[in-house]
Amino acid sequence: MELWIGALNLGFLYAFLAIGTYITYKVYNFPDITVDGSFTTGAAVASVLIIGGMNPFIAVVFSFAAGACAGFVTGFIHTKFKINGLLAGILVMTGLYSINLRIMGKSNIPLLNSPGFVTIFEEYNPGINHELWILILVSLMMIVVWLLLSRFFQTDLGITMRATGDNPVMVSASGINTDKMKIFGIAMANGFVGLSGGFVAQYQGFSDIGMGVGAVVTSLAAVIIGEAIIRHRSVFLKIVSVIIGSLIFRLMVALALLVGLDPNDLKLITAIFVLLTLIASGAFSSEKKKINFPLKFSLSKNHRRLFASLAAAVVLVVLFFLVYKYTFQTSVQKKLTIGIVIANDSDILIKTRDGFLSEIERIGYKIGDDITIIEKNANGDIPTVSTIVDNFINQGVDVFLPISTASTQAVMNKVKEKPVIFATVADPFVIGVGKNNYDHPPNVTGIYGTMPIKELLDVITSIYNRKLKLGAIWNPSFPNSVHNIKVLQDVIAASGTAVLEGATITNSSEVYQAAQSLISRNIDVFFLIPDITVYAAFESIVKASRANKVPIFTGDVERLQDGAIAVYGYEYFVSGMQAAHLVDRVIKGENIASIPFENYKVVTVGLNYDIISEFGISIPEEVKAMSNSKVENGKFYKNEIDPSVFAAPSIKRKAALFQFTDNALLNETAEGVRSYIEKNNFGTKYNLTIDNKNAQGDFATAQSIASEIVAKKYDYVVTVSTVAMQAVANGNKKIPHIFAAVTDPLQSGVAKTFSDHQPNLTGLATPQPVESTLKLMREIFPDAKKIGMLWNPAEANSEICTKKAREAAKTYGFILKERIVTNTNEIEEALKSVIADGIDIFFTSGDVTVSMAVPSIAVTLLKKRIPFITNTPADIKDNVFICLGADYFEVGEEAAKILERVIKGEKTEQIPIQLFVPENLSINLKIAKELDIDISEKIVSRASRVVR
Amino acid sequence: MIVLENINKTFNPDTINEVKALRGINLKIKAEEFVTVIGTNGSGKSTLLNIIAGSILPDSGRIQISGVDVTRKRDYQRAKFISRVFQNPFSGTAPGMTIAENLLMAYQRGKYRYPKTNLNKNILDFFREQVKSLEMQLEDRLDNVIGTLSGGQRQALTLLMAVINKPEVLMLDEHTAALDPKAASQIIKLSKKFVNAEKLTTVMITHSMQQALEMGTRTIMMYKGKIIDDIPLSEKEKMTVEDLLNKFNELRKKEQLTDELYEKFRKEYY
Repeated sequence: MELWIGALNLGFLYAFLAIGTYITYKVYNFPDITVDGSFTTGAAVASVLIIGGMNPFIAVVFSFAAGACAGFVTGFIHTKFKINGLLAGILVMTGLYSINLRIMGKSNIPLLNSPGFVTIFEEYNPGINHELWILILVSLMMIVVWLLLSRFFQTDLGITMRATGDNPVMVSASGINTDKMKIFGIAMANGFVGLSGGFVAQYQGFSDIGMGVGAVVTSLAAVIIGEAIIRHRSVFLKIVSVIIGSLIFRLMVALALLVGLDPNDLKLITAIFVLLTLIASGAFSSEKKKINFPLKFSLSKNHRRLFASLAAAVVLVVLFFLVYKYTFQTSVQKKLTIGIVIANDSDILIKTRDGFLSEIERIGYKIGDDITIIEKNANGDIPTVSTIVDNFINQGVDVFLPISTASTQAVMNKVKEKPVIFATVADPFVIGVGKNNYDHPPNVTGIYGTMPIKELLDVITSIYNRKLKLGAIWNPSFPNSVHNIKVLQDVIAASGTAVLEGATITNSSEVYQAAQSLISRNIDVFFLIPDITVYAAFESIVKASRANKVPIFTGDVERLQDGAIAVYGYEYFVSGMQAAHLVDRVIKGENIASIPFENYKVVTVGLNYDIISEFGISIPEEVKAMSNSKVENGKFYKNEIDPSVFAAPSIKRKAALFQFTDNALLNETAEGVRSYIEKNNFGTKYNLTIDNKNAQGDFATAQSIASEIVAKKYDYVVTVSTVAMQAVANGNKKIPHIFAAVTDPLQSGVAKTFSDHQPNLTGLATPQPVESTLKLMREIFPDAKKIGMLWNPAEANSEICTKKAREAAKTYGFILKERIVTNTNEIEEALKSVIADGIDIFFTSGDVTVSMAVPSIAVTLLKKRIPFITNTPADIKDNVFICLGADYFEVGEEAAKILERVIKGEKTEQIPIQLFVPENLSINLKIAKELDIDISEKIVSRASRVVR
Repeated sequence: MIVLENINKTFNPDTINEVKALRGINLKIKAEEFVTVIGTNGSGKSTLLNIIAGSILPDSGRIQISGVDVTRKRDYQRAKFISRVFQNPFSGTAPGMTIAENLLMAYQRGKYRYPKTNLNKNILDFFREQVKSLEMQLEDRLDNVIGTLSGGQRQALTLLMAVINKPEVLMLDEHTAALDPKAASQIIKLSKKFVNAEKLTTVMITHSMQQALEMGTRTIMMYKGKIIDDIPLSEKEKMTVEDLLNKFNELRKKEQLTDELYEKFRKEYY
């Protein structure tokens, strides 16, 4: 039943859209295309606000307002500038595309982990089926809207609105400004459209820049279907008919999917259905020309009504019959069913599926005998993806295999228990599926990865051996493309071996022009990231490439034969194969929660020797040696893939990564640990899974996490922060324990000296580099005498830092002027007093209380022309002059290195604690200039970050 | 009540389609006067009505209604003074809405509309009373959609809508021309009844010389955008259609009109 209830829910939420279209098209006789844009606007506004923490029901009020603004603009330009209504709608719709992108900031916002109205409804669920509960509440909501709206159309204003559509001359003669009425009505209609978008985004779990495409047609279909079923002049029944029309439309889509219609044909079927309904309703309503049926059967008014009700009844009976039949049939199914959800027909998704099918058979499953595979393709229509998922749930699919990001989003939103294995997703974390390879929803795993951009750039660099100008083309409405370009920019910035020339396009017909414009900007090579729009017109780039001998480098092996000179990337066929192995593991009973996400395991390096000789480019031997596929004399060759690389590693190990709280320093450290683990494939190399634990700053929680770690018999534990270390060290004397982000382990009681420590633990001591900081001060300010410092004696770490500062002050000939604070309120006063002492420099080290007030301290000091120096690199953004601190990301990486040594068999008791302070210097030269500080180029060159 | 001073209006100026619709019209209509306007096609009588109603704004000149300068006011802004009945019986009513809803629109002429339900029993009773006075048995069909009524019924309703909220000026624009003779005479009867009962200041365009003489307290004759004759009640009462035609013939000579035009006038009005 899930399928039908899901369809009804969608129908109700889309009914707001249909109401909008009813107001413009039926009440005003104004075909309004704005809805294609304002629907997305509503979704975008709601998503952004909900992510920002707003209540979902208040957020949709803003969706309504945003939609209404769009409608207002359409109405305004239509009436004031006398622009044709269709054209006005198209103009606003086109403009909204950019505005929607601006609102969203990217083309897709996941709401998977944000509370939508569905989550709020669920809180009050008395224990019935989730979708059914939503249906009950949504239909109640709809009844309220229906009554209010119908009532509205019977008020003076409502009557005037209807009359404006019916006879504007008469309305104008009764003293009404019809232009204002039109603007008001179109705004109101688009308000409902925005509301619909806001709700649909929450229901489907994301908003997407393309979700409004076709909104005008589907809503028109709903209005017309409704009108065909209920024909009555009462406003109440007219609005009911719109709602019912929307429900029936969604049920039809569900039905079409269920009986196995290709959703690609769905659009044609919709068009034909709408046309037939129009013709039929014309036959029923036309006053002047009655269509005579065969046998001279002419319908009187009452007969007409009867006939219409009969037709509606037949449709409903057929619907229910089919529902019954298919629900019944599917419940008999016993075999394990795998449901493949494909978002659209693009090459890479189809290849993934083929890879999956071929590998699952090679592993030994007989499709049809051992497992059943059903596959549905949404052909790029987002609401259809959702309906496909409902359909699969209804058919009792056991394992979901969404291919592509959009499919994964839709499946994730509906499937909370059954296993989901995704494939060919660029980055599951941006769509909210998990936080890292190990920390993911317990029913989900999959294969992901983006093109190895750095590696390809390295290949190009080794071929040319000089600084290059790369040309890239991409469609900015795809989040993956934008992400990849950002990665490319970062890689280029880090390597310094190239510069980037970019050209953006919005459809494939612009690609050739973009390619030529890049060539005219004298690029050396094309560097193409995977982009569906660009690949659709790949031939046009090849044309430009060959005409100007500018070679194409890309990540997609399929492009090698098309005319790329070299590729370095992943084969989507392999992504499917890899997914087949995950499915195999799940079928064999492995707990999906402990299967980490996998990156692509096989890299394809391909060379096109035809192009190489045509362009006369020489390829170094080491690049040739790397390649595992090639094109020669027009033929494609590739090395066989050894399927054993996909197999799961044998001994399982698990580690806990325990961080005390969420602050920048600890997050960076934990990120460093994870990054090293991922980059070095601990998952596959050592079969290691990592569980992330975070006490969120709560000591009691930290304790229970520590005991959980012991109880669950983790193989390793990595702690981040002193408190986390202490909590674990307390209760755990066995599990190897590596700590990081600890200022002074000796003070914390886990060790007497760096080599004499509790036997099961080791790690890194990372104190604030107080001594080096004072040394640096002396270098920059040879004549400075007094250093001001505030600190809170309640903080143990701060006390250590202050003591160090006192000693270093002696060494470097400073006088330390200290003031004590116990909370942030006292800081301003204390600062004034220390400034009055005539200090030359102000310094703060590891004090948490003072660190909270860094921005305001910086402002005061700048006014007094006193340089401000801290030990926290992140402070540089708050107008601090110099920050000399530890790079905690590196600390995290270093801790992971120790973990690796332990995994490889070294004993913790034999690994001494290391003092590890990877110094990270940041300098703000703007402040130097403002304060007339002369800072030598030598010092600046040591800085890893310079604000100019 | 209505004062027009030196009104000029040219359509499509400076093109080959240039039409000087009104040339220096000066006209004063007193309160409770009932003016009938006659003239050949293209004489400017409809433009004159549209200028008074505000559907067309003049190129120059001044318009006052009830002492208010409305020269630059749009039709919907003048609607609180003026109500109109058009030639086409379909123009004055909204076909998709009920009789009651149409009457409500007319009843609130010139007022702001709020999302407030005023279509209650009291007002429906009042409407029923009013519709009864049309003597067309429509009083029990207030909930029927206007689109289902005949042209005569719709025009009668339009007339009722025009007077239901007593206007300062009633404008009738050949409002019987599109009806069959029986319906036309019914509408004329109703028009006289309403105008007399409410003592309305009225401007009526007609193509029937009979109607022009029979109705109203004053008749003006238009030609080529000018008022060429203004016949007061005292003169009108004694006149026959033949007299009117002769009068036009005289004017023709005075204004050096052609015989052809006389023929045209005779044909159109006889």
